[in-house]
Amino acid sequence: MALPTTITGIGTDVSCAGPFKSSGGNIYFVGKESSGLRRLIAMKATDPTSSFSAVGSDPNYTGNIPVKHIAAFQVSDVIHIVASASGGTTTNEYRYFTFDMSSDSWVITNEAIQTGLSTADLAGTVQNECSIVVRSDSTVVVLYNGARVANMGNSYARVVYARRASGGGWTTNVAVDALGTIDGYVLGSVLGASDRTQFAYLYTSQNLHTRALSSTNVLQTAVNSSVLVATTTQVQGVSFNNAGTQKICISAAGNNGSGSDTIAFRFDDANVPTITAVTVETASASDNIPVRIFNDSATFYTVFRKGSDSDLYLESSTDFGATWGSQVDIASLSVGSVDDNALSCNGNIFQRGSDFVIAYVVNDGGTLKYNEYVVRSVAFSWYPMHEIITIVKRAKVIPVRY
Amino acid sequence: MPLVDSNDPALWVGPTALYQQYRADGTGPVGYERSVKDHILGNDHLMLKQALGIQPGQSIVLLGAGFGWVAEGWAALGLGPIAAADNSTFIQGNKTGNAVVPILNEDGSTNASRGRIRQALGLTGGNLATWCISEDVLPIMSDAEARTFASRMRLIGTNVAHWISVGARRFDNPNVWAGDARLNWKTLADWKALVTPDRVVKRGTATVL
Repeated sequence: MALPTTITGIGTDVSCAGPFKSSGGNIYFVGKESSGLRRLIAMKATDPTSSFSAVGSDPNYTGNIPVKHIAAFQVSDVIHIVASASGGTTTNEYRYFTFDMSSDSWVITNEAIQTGLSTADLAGTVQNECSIVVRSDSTVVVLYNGARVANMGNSYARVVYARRASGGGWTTNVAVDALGTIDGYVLGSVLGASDRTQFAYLYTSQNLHTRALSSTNVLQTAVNSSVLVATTTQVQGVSFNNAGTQKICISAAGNNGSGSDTIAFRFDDANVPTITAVTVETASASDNIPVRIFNDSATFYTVFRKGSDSDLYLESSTDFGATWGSQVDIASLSVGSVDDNALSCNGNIFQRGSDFVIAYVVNDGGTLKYNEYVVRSVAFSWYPMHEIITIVKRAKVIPVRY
Repeated sequence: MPLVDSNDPALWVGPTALYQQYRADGTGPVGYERSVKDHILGNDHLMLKQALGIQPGQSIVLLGAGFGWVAEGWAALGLGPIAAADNSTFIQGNKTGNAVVPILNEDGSTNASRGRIRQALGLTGGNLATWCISEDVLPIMSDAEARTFASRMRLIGTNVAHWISVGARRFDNPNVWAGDARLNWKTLADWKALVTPDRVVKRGTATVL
């Protein structure tokens, strides 16, 4: 069978989390069911070029309300998941799940982070965005749209975080945004050096902001990137230790000068980092959502849609996002316009067979598909000459009689 | 009568309050109280100062000042003299622990009230304050009340500005304002038209008309 592989049973209105590769070499991703809208489903493939099937006992979201967003973070064989759901203006909630790829089973299901929330922004739009990282001490940090606040009769959406102790138990609703009379929107989070978490969020029609949370849970001064990003996107980040300096790059769609750009926000991880916004590609009157970023041993890849043909394109950077190469059309698709849910999030680059691949789940004109793009093949191992001589010397020569 | 009764504690605290905020430790919601001062203000008061170009040494009157947090923040920046006034019985009855600057029990509606406000600034004769600024007072008034209120403010300050939480139309119905239905909602341009020649300033963005 050849890629892409058609996926059935998974909804297209919420972006899938993953794909992830298990220690056993199997490929997984998490989505929500296509009908009923309530269950989370873990999909598995031993051969992703053939088919995916649901594994584990799919957890029905407590309260039986529609799932709105899924974010995940892989630690070894465990996928840590935060999912939001909404039953209306005042029934919004966030729950924590874990799926163990070594046993194909859900371990933690429906653990409440916060429930019964009103999360409406100024215009009354309910917000359900969330993201998740897991620190080295097994504590979990979730960034999410918390309970809205009222200020002189107006409702404002808030960006808050919650933290799960390694043994369980949540500290919730810790304010991340600046509050006042402005809406805050969650974009995403990325784990930096020494378990520092970098939160990304924005305010109404304003710039991407970051704010660091130290490993000791101290929120640092927020940083304004001075570049506007779209509220309709979730951002994905990559983090790479380059000889002791943690290089972070966050991808987003926004306005870095042309009005519609694919942007890489690059910085060295710090409590108060200096952020540089680099235009990866100018969309030129066509949208470039969704946007995702991946890392392969210090080579960063940004994947984005182009409105001109609705395909997915890729550009790479070997200097941690400072400069980007030429665009490559990586798949002929029909990705919907400004549909951030059309492309899976939180995935990474992994080796499958003899190739290292960007794996993704994409909504191709209404059909969900798993696909890969090969960024490199496993290098052929050349033996140095002195090793070859040693091998020959050690070889046992068997006389051959004719 | 204003559209809502600012003397009513339910307007300030509880499930029907205009203010519902969370403390820094995540607990709440609570209403209008000092523990959430920074959350209610954010950077809005700093943006207001910047937008109006208020300079040190200029005399300032703040009407509808609540617990005087804007005055407190501006005084810390070296602005003033500042007179903060609010005649809500809830505000006057709950100043302890919530306010650190004096809150005059005045509304500027009479000559006597305006005289006491000017006196608090040390102004003599018929001298006016440099600024008379209302803090989210207009949305609790009818249009007619707002016009009258604005005209009285012009008898207190040379420059009059109204700081207003401007609402938004509902995302699913542009004919309906999304904010609390008890209040008077308008676009900033419509507020400007109502109280011209005063300045109107939008909270959150500090847009000035």
